[in-house]
Amino acid sequence: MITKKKVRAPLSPEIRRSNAKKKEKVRFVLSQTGMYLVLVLFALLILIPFIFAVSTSFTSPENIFDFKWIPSPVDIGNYDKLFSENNVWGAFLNTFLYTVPTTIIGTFCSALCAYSCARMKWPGRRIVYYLILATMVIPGVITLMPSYVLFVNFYRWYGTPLPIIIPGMFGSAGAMFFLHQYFKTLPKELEEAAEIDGTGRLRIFLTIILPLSIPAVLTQFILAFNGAYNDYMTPLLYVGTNPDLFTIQLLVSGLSTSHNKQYTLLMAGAITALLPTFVLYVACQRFFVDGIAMTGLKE
Amino acid sequence: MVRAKITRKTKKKIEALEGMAFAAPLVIGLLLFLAFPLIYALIISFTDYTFATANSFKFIGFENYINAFHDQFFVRSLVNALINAIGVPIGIVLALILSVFMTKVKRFSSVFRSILYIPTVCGAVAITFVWSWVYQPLYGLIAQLGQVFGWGTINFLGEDLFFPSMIAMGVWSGLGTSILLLYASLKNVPKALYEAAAVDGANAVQQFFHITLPSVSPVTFYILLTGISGSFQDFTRFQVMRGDQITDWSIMPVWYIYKYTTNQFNYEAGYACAMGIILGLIILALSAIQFGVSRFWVHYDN
Repeated sequence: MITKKKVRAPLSPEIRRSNAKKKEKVRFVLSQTGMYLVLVLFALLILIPFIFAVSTSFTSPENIFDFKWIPSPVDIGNYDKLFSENNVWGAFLNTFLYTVPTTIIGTFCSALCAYSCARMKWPGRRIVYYLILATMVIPGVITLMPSYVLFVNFYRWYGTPLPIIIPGMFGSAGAMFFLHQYFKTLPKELEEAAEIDGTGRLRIFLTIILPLSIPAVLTQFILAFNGAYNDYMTPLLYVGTNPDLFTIQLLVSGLSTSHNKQYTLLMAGAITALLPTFVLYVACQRFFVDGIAMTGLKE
Repeated sequence: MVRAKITRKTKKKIEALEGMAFAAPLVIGLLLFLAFPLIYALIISFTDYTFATANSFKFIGFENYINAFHDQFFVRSLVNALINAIGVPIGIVLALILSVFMTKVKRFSSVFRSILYIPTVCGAVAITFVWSWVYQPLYGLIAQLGQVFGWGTINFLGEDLFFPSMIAMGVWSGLGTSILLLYASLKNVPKALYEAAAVDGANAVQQFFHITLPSVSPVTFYILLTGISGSFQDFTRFQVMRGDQITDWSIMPVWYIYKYTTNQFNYEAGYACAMGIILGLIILALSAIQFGVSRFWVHYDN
């Protein structure tokens, strides 16, 4: 030990420092490489099932036993069959009719309520706000069966898409909470000037607050639309027996039983069903990311 | 003077009325589609109400609740739900490691986050189809890999491996959201904390356990809470994966309750409501326990 130290001792401080730096650099490069390897591995784990599904959807059923990552020949027969034997466009139309108006109106109602609780003074607004928040704790399963009974026997909406459309139009506690946090951060002066002019509160909300909050509101709209588009249970409960009223999720899920698990067709169905929200995600990624990240931070 | 006072008063009144009117739609919606069904569930869970015979509406006390605990399918579904929840902590640990890596790598961290989030935007039906094909025992993705390595055929979706397979799939599709949440939280940790710790000679592992982990504990707690509640109410992927064929080893509570809206179980609405309430109370109890325990590991001070 001692001799070793003596051998090293003559090294000048500069060299020693540069040696330490080199060591540091090696460690840095190694740790970066390790972390990138893990991240790439997980990215591949996420992507490969999708690539597998896309390749399968472009493989003819006869060639499925001889699977290739890049199908040769590329066969669009599955999509052909999917679109010719099923009313895919009709299901897409239904889905958008059920989800777009209700999400737009619902997001507006959530925003209106959030604005009222965040920036207006009225007796009981605190209690109402916290009661609305408290509803988020209630597990959805409790209301599954009673809602079904009420929609069928009380509202008499069975066999119509109304149970899918109407409840969402009133807004949601989650979106209200998120927008409440956002409206709170806007400066008070925004409204004061308009109030002195005698502008009504609805006007102020529509012309001043809402335009300033477009990113936050759009985020809630996109997340709500994504959820409604991908919802499977509600349409299954209320229009699950009438193919004319099917959403795309119902149509695609039906492929599994009616075609006895023909995987090439199933993959074509799955890819078709996920394409709209996937494209929306690629186009509006920021809104998804901000929306999700913020719900957690505010909790 | 007097006039100004009155107008100020009426102005306040108008504002109060407007405020209530703005809050009204959401409040009415929650009353109609949440409070009303909730109370209704409570009432009919104590009756023998069924769809098929709409005129029967006899109060039978706690019979439905007692029956539920003697219903093998229901009890088994609760056990299955508990097994399914194992995926939540697994997902959290993976997401934590990956999001820490994402804060440390020099570049492309947003690319990784975007990729890992993809499954979340895809519907559960499509994801389930993709995975039923990945798991297919003869020609599925894993079976093909297995041929390379010389494994035998593995029945991933059979009785023995059903839950491990479903948990793996669940972790796979849930990672993206957890990572977004954790990453955002990690980015909020003041850099000065790490610098101070480094000066004191804390190594990377110590820094992780004494700075990183406490800082992200509120978000981790949130993911745990919502994750467990969600995994107990998992429906779509199970129902689609099994083509709505229920067996005791694959049944999940919400799926079983859903079955009571069909003629397969005689539309026994009262009984199904009782099961819904039991499951809901179990989830709330689990959340309460987590809140209790959270005092020991969740740090809310910055």
